[in-house]
Amino acid sequence: MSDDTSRWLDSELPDELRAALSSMREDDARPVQLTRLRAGIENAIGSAAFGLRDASGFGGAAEGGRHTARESREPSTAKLTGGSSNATPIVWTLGAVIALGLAVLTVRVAFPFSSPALEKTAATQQPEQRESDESATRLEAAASGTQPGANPSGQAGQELAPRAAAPLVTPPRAAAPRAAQQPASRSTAAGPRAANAAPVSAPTLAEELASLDRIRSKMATPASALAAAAAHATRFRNGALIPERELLQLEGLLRAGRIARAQQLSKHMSAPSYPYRAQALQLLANYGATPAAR
Amino acid sequence: MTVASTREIFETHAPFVVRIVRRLGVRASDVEDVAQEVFVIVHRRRADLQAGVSVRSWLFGITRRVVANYHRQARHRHEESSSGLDSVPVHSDPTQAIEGSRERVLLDRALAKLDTDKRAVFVLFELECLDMREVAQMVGCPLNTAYSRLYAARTLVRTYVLRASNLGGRHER
Repeated sequence: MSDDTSRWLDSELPDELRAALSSMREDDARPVQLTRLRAGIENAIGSAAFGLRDASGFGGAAEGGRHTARESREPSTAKLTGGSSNATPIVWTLGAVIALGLAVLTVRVAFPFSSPALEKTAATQQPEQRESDESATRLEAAASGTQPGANPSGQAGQELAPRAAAPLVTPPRAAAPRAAQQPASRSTAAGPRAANAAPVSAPTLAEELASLDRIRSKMATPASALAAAAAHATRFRNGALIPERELLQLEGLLRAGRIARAQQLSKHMSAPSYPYRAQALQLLANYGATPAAR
Repeated sequence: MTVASTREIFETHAPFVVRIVRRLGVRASDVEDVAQEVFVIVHRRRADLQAGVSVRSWLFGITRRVVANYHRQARHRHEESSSGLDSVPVHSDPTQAIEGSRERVLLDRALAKLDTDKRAVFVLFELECLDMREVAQMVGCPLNTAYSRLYAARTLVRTYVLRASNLGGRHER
């Protein structure tokens, strides 16, 4: 057999076939498709690594990317702000602002007769609401028969007041209205910080759960699932759902045919105390593998 | 040895990878995801690329494995296993179905009926217009085997397309 076989298109062909072959041959990747693909790859492995000539520079993104091409195609916060790395501070700032708002709201609802210090804190943070806050304080004072600025709930107020309000439990009576007009002092600044601490933990767990869901949803393409798992490992280094992520990671590796790596990962998963030991062993068994020797 | 950056490989070979991914039967809506997966692997393994080895051959090997994995996974996916759409890849995208001619759809279907080896040879030789020696090297088979696959693929494609055309569009699935 020689190596000079002519292309089919150059030979006698029925018209239907010729048209179809010709059409398919000319069908090339569209520029917009390549642009999206490039953006997806850059998101996945990082812009710097994308242009890196030396393979030794390849690090954490080794398991794949943080985003699939589809994610990079879809409008997202990261895309609108020019990339995920740029978006992170904005997202955190937004989160902090929301958490702060929730914290203030929670405190106000939970402690309707809270100390004026909290009123003062809120007034300092929201000057535009100062008037209404002071009116509320005056109304509360009138209802309880105390002066504005005094602690209307007395001892009970001290017991119920959150830690953030502790330094302000016994402010000088006359100082309260003035303090409301001053910039945040050391003690008032402590309020938001302390108030921030509690509500932030709940969304973090929700985020971690969402991240696990993302890994699970990408399991059809193991490399994407592994990429999502790598992103989870980076973001939730001390997360609450690490065993769950490891189990998904194990499944991803097995599906990708990376048995050796899966065995390596499952080394500690075969420990009796591991919460998903049975599932991990079952997964390995499905692929005819066993954990690496411990 | 300085290893080419992923960007350099991408700039030169991305259209090739996208075309191969599409022609090996990946659904239009998944082409970019699969191609991205290919380049992520390329990025990870580019240090393995040996001097003297054709980048295109190396890329084709990776692409072929990723696509095979895609098909394997697609068979397990509920929506695909229930409808059998994984065997009719390209025109499952509505946009492409509208754009594509009827003959083109028939050819897509004919290609979907080929096994992966025949399909690879057909795609590389007839559509990518590569030299047959290079095709054999990329597919990893002797030259004569590559020719046999090509002729077998041509026969199957011709038979399918003509029969479907004669049926006036009531082509078999």
